[in-house]
Amino acid sequence: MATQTHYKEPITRARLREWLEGYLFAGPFLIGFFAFVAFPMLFSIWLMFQKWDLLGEPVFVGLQNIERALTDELALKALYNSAFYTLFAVPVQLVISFTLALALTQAIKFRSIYRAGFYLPIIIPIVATAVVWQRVYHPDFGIMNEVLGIFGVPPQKWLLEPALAKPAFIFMSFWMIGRQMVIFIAGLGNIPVQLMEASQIDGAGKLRSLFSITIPLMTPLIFYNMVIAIINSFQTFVPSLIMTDGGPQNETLFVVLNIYRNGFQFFNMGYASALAWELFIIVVGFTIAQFYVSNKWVYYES
Amino acid sequence: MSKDKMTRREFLRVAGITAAGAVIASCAPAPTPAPTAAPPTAAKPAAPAVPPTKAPATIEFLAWGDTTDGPAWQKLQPAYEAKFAGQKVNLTPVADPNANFYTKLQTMFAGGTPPDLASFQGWEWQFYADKNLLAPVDDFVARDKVTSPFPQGFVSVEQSTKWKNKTYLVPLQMGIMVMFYAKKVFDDAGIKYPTDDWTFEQFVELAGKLTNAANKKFGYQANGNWYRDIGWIVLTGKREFDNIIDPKKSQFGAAEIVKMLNTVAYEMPHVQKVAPNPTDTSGAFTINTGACAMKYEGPWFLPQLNSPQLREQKKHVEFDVVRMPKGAGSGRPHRGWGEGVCVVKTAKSEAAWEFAKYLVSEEGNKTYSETTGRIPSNLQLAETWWVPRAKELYGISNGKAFIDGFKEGQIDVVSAGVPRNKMWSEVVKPTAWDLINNGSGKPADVLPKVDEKLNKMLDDYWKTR
Repeated sequence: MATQTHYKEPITRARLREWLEGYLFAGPFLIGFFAFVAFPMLFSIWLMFQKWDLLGEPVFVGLQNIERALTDELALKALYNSAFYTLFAVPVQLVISFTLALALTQAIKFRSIYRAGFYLPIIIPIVATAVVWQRVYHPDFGIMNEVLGIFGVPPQKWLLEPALAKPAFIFMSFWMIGRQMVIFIAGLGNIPVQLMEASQIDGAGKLRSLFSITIPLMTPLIFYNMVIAIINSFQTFVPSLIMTDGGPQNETLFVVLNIYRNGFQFFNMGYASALAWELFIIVVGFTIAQFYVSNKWVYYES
Repeated sequence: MSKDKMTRREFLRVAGITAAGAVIASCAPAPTPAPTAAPPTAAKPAAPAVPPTKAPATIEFLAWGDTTDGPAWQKLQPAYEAKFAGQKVNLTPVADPNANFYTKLQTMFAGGTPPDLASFQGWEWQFYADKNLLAPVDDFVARDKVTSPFPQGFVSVEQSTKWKNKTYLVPLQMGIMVMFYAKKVFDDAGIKYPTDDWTFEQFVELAGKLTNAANKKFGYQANGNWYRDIGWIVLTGKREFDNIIDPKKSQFGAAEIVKMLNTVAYEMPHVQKVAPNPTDTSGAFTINTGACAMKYEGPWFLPQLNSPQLREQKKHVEFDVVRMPKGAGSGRPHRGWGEGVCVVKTAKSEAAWEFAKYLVSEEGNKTYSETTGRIPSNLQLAETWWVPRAKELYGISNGKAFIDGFKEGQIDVVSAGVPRNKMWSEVVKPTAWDLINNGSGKPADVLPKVDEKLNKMLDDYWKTR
């Protein structure tokens, strides 16, 4: 084995200047990161062990907040709601966005218009989207009931019935798949043409090519979109705040709404911090697990 | 390349240093003007009408800044500064106050930069007074003889403004809710308008007669939440708690309350179908669109139905108001409260009081009321000036109903320990109103469960006291 000799480079004035410049360029980001991300995160660890309403002095309460976060009926309900939403929304979002991407990489008329159209909801503010969907689901004059009425389905109280509220939110999430679709379109454009040609010469049909070439080569992007979608799903907040305020009967009380309520409506900052860390650990855990499992199904050419 | 020309690297370096400096500078607290520094007078529209009597001061005012109140502060702030030289008000209006006002206020306290004066609803400030963050104004009131916003003998004023025998809230307006009715729906049905002496039974009967399901016309627009239904609850003579201030026991399940809510919140929308879905407060089937005949609302709602601007655009609804119907309880209780500003315990309490005093002066109170449509807290002003003005602006002939209702006003629960929004979000809404609103739960079934859960919440709180 060859040995490497490490030479200690002298710290020259020029080098110091280079470092200084580097840190100056990174300065705005570093200041922002430490002030608005790192410090609040560290502070919230300390807060987890305190009872603090922002007005008085924080009072040390030991593990009380953590214990409550793990046992409180509402906190568990919120976790269940977020998990349910993620479990059903993410896979369907991926299937729809991938299918759309496949369709929009074909040589069809007005392709650019379709692409722009499907991406458009992403640039609409989420608050406006929530208000629009509230109207869509309106029991008396919502377009959803109008459309279903054509097929003989009686009007439903989408956002008022506990059994329908979460499915309504899941359906609404399909509106926001533009970003995933664009990533898939970019990936599909990078699949080597010669591979597809070779498979055709070998007699593979379109379905066979899809499952044996396209999908395996797209697995890194499917994986990426899945990780991001799961994180985003666990962070769903605005629609439930605006459309249902967590109702009916807490069926759309998602984790972040519960954190927001406890932090900024009831001013239990310690308990809200414990809930936030609980969510953080779950999301990080999910992400690590996905990376671990990805070794078995994601294809990396290298 | 010329020596004196800036290279790209040098340019980037300068830009980086500037950007980092800007970020650091933006994180620094804003410089506070020296208290003795007089504000520039050149920009003032007119010379002070009254010579300055107080030391120059700049106060921070955190204001309820929705579309109703926001324009009033924009008028009152310059008017005050023009009138009293050396007095300056830094106005911070919170644009979406129902969602953000108290969060902003609490965060300001936590950051050590509380405002000197803050807007408050009649049932929210007690939490802050309990923590010794607000300044009692009794001495100021006595010294300056400011009595008009505190009319004697009004329980709702007393309860909205005092905490542990000290006065904190300076009310700018009378909060009161009465019944609004759209005249056209009555006219089309050939039914006479209600009068102040009507009864609850007559109200229910009228709602039925005014409903025309085929034309999607409804007799009544239900409210869909506890806070708004308090107006109905008080008619029964019972309240949801043993004490309306610092309650220890919940009693939503009282027979009188159950019976009342069963009629107005459950049967009228779901069984008799004389009201549209209660959660639809901004859709097609509302009094605003003329699809509902009656709705229980407050004075802030007046400009939404009729105003000179709406009349000019031909978008107004001809309407009038009437007191809430007579219920089973004695007297004619209405949901009523005071709403205004509190002086925060800061070094500038005195200056903050001066601005509060201006707000409740005849001039300030009139400007506030004229701009917002709300009823001035000065009773005499309300009766002699607001009632005729409301007729002129909104076309109502019975503005007196608001004042009479206020005289028998009852405030909402004041709970410094278990906040009202916590009761609502965690118990009352999911346990009762969500089910009542979708027609899957009757008040008789769900309200006792509310008591069970609220009592546990209250017990847990009182154990720690």
